[in-house]
Amino acid sequence: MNRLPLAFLGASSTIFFVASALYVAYLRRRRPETAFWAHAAAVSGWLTLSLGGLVRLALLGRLPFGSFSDSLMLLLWALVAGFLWLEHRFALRAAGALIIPVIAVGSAYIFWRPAGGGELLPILTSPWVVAHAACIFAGYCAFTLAAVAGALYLLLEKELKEKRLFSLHFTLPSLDTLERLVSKLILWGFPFLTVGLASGAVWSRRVWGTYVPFDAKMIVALVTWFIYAAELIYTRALGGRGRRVAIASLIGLAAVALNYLALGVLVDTVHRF
Amino acid sequence: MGVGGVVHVWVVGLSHETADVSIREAVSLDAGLVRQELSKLAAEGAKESAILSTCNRTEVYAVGATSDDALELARSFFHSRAGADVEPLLSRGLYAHQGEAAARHLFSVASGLRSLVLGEAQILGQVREAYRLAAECGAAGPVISHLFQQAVHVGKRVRSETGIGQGAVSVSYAAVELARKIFDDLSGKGILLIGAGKMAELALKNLADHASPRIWVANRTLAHAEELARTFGGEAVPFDRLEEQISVADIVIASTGARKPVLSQEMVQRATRKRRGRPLFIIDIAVPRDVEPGVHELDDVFLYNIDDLRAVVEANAAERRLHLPHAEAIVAAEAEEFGRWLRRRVADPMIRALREKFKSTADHEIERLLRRLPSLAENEREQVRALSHSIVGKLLHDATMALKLSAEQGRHEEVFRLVAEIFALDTGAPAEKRPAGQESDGKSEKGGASGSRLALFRPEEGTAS
Repeated sequence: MNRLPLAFLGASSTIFFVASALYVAYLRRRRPETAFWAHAAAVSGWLTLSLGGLVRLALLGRLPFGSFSDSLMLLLWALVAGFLWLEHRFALRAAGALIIPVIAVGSAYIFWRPAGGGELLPILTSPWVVAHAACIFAGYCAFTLAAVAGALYLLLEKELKEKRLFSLHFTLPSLDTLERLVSKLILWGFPFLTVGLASGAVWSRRVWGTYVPFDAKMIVALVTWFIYAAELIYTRALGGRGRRVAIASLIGLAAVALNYLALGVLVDTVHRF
Repeated sequence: MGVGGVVHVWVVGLSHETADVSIREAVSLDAGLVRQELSKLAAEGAKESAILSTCNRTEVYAVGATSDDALELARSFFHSRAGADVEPLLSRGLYAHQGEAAARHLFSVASGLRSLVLGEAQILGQVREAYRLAAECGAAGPVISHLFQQAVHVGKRVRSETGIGQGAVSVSYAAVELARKIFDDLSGKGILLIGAGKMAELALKNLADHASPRIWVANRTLAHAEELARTFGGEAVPFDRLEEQISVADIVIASTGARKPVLSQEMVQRATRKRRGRPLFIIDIAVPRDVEPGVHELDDVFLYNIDDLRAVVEANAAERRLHLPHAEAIVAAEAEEFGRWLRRRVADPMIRALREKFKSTADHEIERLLRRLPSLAENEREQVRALSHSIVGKLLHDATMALKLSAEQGRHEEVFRLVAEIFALDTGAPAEKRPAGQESDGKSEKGGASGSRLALFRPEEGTAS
């Protein structure tokens, strides 16, 4: 990656570390000013990241998703946008203490270990690939946010169970709201994942002659799809509620993370991430 | 009319923090008595006054011609009100604050910072009521009006900008709050009341207040259940169908007089199986307890007994205390602003005199001119008069601002003297005496502003004895 977008990444990473500290401080002391500054820091971090992305876009002349760094940057950017929306819409400030540190670490990782130039192999320029990547990413983003809401559900539930009302009780919306948010985000993410996998399959048929090339990534992706499908059936068709919904969102995210991070970094194939 | 219109406002009062109930009840007033006392204060020479009387505090706000007047007026109320047996105890309970410090006191009272239950909201209504009574009796002039209107504004601001008024501080409301933390919206939720009792009814009433839930009532005697169900607009449920009902309800309030638990862990577990993880909130306010403690360990079931609810109230109180510094900062800033407003008012008589002089001079000259121009029509004459007034207004605008500013900054004596001299204003006040009085006022207000909170609410020595 060029030096200019990297400079933006470094700056945004620094800002996100500051924002993380502020969100944690807000959870501890719950002062409205702290919340204001934390939010301001998150927004400026996001704007910095956006600028970096735009510069990268301008230099590359196409959507940056050719390398692990590029894709991670896109994902982080979308996650922050999603978080800011949640914060605004559901007063989910407490989520900041959970997700912003991850964003900070993620952007720092790209900054220190940027992967190469991102020249695409000729076979990767097909519109099917673009659709595949974009859809999978939208899905991942929704699932990550769902897992954040799920984690908050479990943490708030823990406070209520232990009867030691503490910071989350005073900052989070109700269990019911969190649970509905988890279901909603999964419902939004699932079609993207489905279309993403399907378009990947179509492209794979064209290039390799088979719909489902059996590499590790494909298998985990199918497992992920089944986890979320099961979760949707449990909540939508069977009327399932409560902590199991939240736990399922975390299991789903674990599968996503395994696929995206672990296999993306360890396994070196054309299907890098 | 004086050159400087220094405003002397004092508050003298006592509260649950300084005096016990035997003293407080002796000076507590109802609305009728407040009216009576306000007219008495006016008769004794108070320019403006207001009385705030609640069961936890009685305070008299008085504006007088001099600082001593105002203080004496406010204090005499307590001494004349208190009977012979209480009067000797008064001196220890009374506190007195002047000017900006008085404003800060009222602002923190209105914000609930001085209430028995920190941040409680009732006091704001009582402050509003005190002002309404004063206004009704014609006792509230510009100073009292501004003071009380600001107090209401500050009270609202503190509540909206800090969390000082958040979190239930009573057991029955804590139950409602927990229910909302679990279910968010309570409308359409099902509440099962098992047994009856004052607490249970109160909790149910509070829950139903916020939404229109479905209500079921179960009791050992079905007749009694039916009667209760009628009062709450619910449905009576026979006792042997409890388990079935638990599997549909969202909230269970248990308060039977039974010696042994009515809901066992197995029973609730069986009921929850049909719920598919739908959360169940059980409030057990019976002593001895109606629900086996093990029920709380079941997934998606939250069991709170009376002690747990008390602990919630405790946690909420601690949470409110967390917001105290922020609330106090708002109060201090607003009191400072009020102090500036008070000091600016010192310039009012001067500004009036100046304006009067300019206007009468202009009017005089204009009328002379108009007499020489008989051909002008009446509407043209009006236009000429209006023009002269607008010229006077424009000419004096900067001067007015400068006078106010000099008053706000406390350097008005010199400025006022010069202005009076230059424009030959007849202020009718002994110019030598005034500066001394103002000097001391300015100091005492400043002292109040920088003093610690403790010092502020300690009865000021020598003033209250």
